[in-house]
Amino acid sequence: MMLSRYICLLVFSCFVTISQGQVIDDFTLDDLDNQPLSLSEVQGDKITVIDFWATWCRPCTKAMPKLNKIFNKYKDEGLAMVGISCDGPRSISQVPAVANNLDIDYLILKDIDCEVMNDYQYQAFPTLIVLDSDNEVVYVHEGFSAGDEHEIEDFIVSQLK
Amino acid sequence: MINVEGFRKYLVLLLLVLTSGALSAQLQIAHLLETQYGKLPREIADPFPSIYDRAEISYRQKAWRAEATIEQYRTTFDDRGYLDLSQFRLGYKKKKWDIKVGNIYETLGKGVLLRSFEFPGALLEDQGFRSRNYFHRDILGASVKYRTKKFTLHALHGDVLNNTLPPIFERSDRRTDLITAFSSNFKYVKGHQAEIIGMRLSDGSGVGSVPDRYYISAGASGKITKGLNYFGEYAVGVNSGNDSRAIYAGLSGFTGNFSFSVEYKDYNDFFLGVGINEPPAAIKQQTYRTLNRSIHVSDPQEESGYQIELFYNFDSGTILNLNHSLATNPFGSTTTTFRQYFFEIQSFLSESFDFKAFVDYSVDPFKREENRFTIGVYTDFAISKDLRLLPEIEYQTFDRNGSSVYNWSPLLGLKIKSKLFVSVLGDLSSDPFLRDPERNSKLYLGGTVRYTPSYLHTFQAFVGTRRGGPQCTAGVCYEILDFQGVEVRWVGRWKVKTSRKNKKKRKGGF
Repeated sequence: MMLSRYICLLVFSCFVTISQGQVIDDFTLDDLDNQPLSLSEVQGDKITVIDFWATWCRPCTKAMPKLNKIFNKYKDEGLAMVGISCDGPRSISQVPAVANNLDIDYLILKDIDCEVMNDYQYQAFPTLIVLDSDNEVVYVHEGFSAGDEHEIEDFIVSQLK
Repeated sequence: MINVEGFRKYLVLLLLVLTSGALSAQLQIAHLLETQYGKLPREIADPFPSIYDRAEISYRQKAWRAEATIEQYRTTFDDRGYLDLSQFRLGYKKKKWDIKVGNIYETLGKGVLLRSFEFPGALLEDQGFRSRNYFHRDILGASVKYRTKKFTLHALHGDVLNNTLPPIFERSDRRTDLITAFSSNFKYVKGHQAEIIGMRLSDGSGVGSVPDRYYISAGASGKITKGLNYFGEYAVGVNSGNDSRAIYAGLSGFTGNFSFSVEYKDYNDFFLGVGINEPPAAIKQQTYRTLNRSIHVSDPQEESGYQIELFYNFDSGTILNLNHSLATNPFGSTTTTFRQYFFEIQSFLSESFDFKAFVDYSVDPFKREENRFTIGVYTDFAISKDLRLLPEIEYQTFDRNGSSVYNWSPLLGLKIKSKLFVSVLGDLSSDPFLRDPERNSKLYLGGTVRYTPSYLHTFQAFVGTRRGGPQCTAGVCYEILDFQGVEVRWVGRWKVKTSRKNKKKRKGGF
């Protein structure tokens, strides 16, 4: 019985129309001052970049200074950038210190259960997503190594035009 | 008690009905398939094939959400295999309300009383059961959250998963801890908040032989000045014969290029149920291989200690990190004290070269590892715009029972754009627990190829021998078994959007 249900679901999944338009619903998280902020309050005029990161993730902290440069370069052209920390109870206290240490100017929000990232089935740290003005995901970049920032910037520039 | 089977049938039917219509909704499917042909390196038995498979289906329509997870494991040993609808969930989230029913993830406070979690992609395999299952600790029940700008009220009821037991066990064996909790978080002054939690822990197995235990917790956090934050939580058992207590507090701050954090912990009789909570360890989370394997795993039954972390950020981009932590564990008449001193530098010497280096000195009497000294260097060279070379090396030595032990861990990686990564990892150890008695050392050598054609799909293949041991992610530790053989993994995602307005053609992406 269980097997038949499983096969049914798998077969069904093969017939659905595959596309890539994922919309991020509005959510509310606390910032570093424990003030609740929703996505609708912080989204950019043209695009919003969300970076899921954690203090214990080395590629994340490697990427963040590069993202900060991109943010400062394009923030007046309709770009908003939000870093969502997925640090759990063990390391969430270190989020403000690490953000300061990396000299981050963009907004940092805290998600102790990593609910937003898990809701949309992103599985790697860091994961960067770009949303258009309708909060539709138009770009995803998982992981980070030096040089990836050029690819990310190129895409952001193409969306800001 | 929830009628699980009935509810599961209803949910699967509901999913199929909902997804068959072209509604203004989103359907997401995530799939993990991992197949192995191999064995434990020291296992006498022949290598055997196995397949682990997990599909997570999520349907969203406006404020509503329905999810189901199907998990299966098959090997030539029938008693280790299973096919299970391992999770289901219905959720409603709108404005101030967040309601969930089914398998849910919730953390109370800072995890001192309760922490559930899911680590995507991580699989558990126990030496005793030799079955494989997803690494998560969920709660089967219901959660209601009401949130305003000033306060949050949260009520929670359910059975917590004992994730050390794979799905080959009955639900009643895997979920013996029943919790009922209520928490109230309020922001009393701008930048400051307080939280009060009450929790009842019952025996959910239905046997009823263990009396209920009650806990309360109070905590606060906030910003003292622009660069100085505090937090603290105190939890205690309140019914008679329950002398459990836990304190976790800290300060963090920054001025100019300098940042710091200080944490203090004191846990007494705070291992709840079969382990439903995860009090913060106040030990640095390590991602370096040798240090991650050596990390101190905190014991909430009886542990106290602190952690101090300092950062300095030079204007050139170079970052220094100093960390010292201490943990004391009384065991009967003896007391062991873990100490760690860690230093790390990361620097960008040029656009095409950056590196990280670390030095660590630790004393870990619980593991009988004295004078544990670890060093490592990680580098990243850009050979061309699309090609990067990533050599890494770590070395560790310590004394155990009067004998010196060493571990070498070199890795050579090659990355082509962000799509293809090829690496060879070696692990050479003289640890008597790992090597054959007639040999001086044990070598693990394996190669990995990972190909990511788009963010929707990742293919990975491993061939060789892999060293296991403790692995800690986000503060939760688990054991990975050694492996020798071939392993292929595919992570795929499908996202379906229906009925949205036409949008302008995208200029790039994906």
